[in-house]
Amino acid sequence: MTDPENTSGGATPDSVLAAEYVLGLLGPEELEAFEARLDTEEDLVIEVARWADHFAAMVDRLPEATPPGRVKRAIDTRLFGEDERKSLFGWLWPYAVGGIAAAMLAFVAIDTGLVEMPGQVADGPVYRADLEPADPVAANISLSAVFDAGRGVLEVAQVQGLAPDGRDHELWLIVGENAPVSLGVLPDDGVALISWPDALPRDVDGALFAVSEEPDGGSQTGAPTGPIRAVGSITLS
Amino acid sequence: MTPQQEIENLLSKIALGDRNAFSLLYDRTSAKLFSVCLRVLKDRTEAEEALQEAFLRIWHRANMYRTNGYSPMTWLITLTRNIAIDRYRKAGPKASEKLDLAEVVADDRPGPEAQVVASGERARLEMCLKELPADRAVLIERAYLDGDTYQQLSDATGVKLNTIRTWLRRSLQQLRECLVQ
Repeated sequence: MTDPENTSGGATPDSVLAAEYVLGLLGPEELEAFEARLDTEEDLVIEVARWADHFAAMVDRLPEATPPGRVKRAIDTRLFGEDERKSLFGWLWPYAVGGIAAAMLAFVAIDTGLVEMPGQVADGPVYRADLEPADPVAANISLSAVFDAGRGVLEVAQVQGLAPDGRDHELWLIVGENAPVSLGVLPDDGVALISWPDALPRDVDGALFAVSEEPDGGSQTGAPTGPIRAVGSITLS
Repeated sequence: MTPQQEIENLLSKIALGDRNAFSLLYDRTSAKLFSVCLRVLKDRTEAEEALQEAFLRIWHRANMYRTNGYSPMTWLITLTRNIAIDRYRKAGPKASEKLDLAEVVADDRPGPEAQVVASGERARLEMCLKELPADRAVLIERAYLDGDTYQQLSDATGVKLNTIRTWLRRSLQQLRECLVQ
């Protein structure tokens, strides 16, 4: 159809235009006109995809280059939160296997007397957890939690560590390998009394409490979206 | 599962917000995509920034990759290359490396055996590039791999802009004819 000796004079064939588009050789006006055509001309879209596929084969010539680890860390920080360096379960697994550590944490919580019992006489079992910073370097945060299973009341005392301005701390229950379940956003300071959701089990021995940093008002997704700030194993008191 | 299916699979999981799939995709593809950034930008810091930007876009747009008919690896490469080239061009006009067309000989160019992933489709492009005169094929390679514009190619070779444009368009036409055979 097109005389190959005369492509500079006459109209450029669409397939060549598509190749120039993929290569990035079109000038601003040509580019605008071509992109307008892409909105309506399906054949042209297919031609562009075909060239993109062909040209991408050239990338196989380049020697692969592993990027430094800081690139992935920066990507995760920009996408998922300030200092997240590990996934949720990456943070939590040492706690899940650390039975001895859990027992020690519970001992510390009782021994230091940070937590008042939510009533002199409890009808059912009482569970406790002492939440320690997930990353001791990044955050100075600690909380104490007492769950009165008989009354279905969870009391959480924030000992130290406030959420930054415009952010909230959200409390999660993690039973075994199940997904975290939100227990709500914690107040800025002081003590939170949380009514235990009926849908959740009351036998929480060995489960975990975790606190994540979330946008104002808490996670919108039903799962933690920000970095995990504190975590602690729950033990029968 | 073929590598292509694996990447496609990961992209559909990423579209649903699966961070684990995102990390796996990064492990599988970042070395190849980083090589694209390095080749275009020729600066490690700039290339790292471009790669970050590429993966941010992959996370946000994974749900869109099917809409333009690209294979998954082509989609990733095209997206990354476009980001790298935008960055390269925004930094202002640069002289690209001199190119003496008289010294380009066919044997300099890698054949299909040099490919890491040699599918039939990919071997065909290399074969068709080899059918072009070596000093024309190298212009297409510079435009794709380095992101050179017609002006940069003209400056690098000392050949007039309009002549370069004519040569390149004619070569693309020939390449197309070879590729559809």
